[in-house]
Amino acid sequence: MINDKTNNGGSFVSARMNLTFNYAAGEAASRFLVALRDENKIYGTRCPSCSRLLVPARSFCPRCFVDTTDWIEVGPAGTLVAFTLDRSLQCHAGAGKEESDPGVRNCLGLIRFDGADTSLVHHIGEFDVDTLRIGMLVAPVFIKERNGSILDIAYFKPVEADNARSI
Amino acid sequence: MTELLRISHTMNMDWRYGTSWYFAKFIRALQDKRLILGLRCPVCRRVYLPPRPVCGNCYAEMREWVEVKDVGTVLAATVVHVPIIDPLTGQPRPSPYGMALIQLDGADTTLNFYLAENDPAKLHIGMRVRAVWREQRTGTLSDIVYFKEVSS
Repeated sequence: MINDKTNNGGSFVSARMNLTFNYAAGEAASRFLVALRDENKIYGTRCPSCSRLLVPARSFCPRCFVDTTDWIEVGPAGTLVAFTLDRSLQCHAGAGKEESDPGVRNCLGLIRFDGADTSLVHHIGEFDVDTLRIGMLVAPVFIKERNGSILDIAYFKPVEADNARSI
Repeated sequence: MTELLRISHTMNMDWRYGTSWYFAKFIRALQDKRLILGLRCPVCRRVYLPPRPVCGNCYAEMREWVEVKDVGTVLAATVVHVPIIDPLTGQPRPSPYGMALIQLDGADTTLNFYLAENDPAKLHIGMRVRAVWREQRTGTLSDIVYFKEVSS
């Protein structure tokens, strides 16, 4: 579709590419996602060599190249250790959104659970732009119809410390 | 044994890019007049299709528009079996489909475009093809559906 004039006598051309992925989650990610789907639980795995707790759970430690052993539940609430605000997050993987609402501020955050040594990337929702801060506590909001996907958590939302349970 | 899952998702990527004056003129002629326009080099006189602003051989700026026929000759052809995503629709193009480098009458370069025919036995270099135009044109390259063999 050609529309709008550019200032050099040209026009804009719109294009679209829908990339469809389908891949095997593997044993570790499957177990992680099944626990998320069926029990509302978030799991990490511990590296027997460096003792780091990796979240989300991984089958091996990418630093030591050894198989992880123990499965350890974390969360559900965690600390927001980094975030970014995006006014036009068009590339919204798997969320079933065709295009983002221009009025909505999308936010992606890194969430560190107590005891974990790595962070989980997820959407942040129900937030107030002015009070969003690194260090604030966030808790997962689960969707009703589960798919065994990381998006069974719709997003994490800021919560008070005494209210840090899954919603 | 853990239940093994598959992860499926679709990433919808929408973008728009600015064409310069030459592509805008080309695409508007397609849409409004069913005309295919090329640009002629003032030095070597070659006609470029699709149009480009500078001649690749002479580095001369091109400003002379030339009307090119919607009939041409296939210089190379293939049948694509991989359902590659069509950026005009965002969806995988139903396969198999034919593609060809087509030199339209009046042009000196080839246009890479879809063919109506997807049977490799019926494709040959030198075959004459004609554009099949869409009734409702929207100002995209897909205002031409594909090129179809001209029955001789």
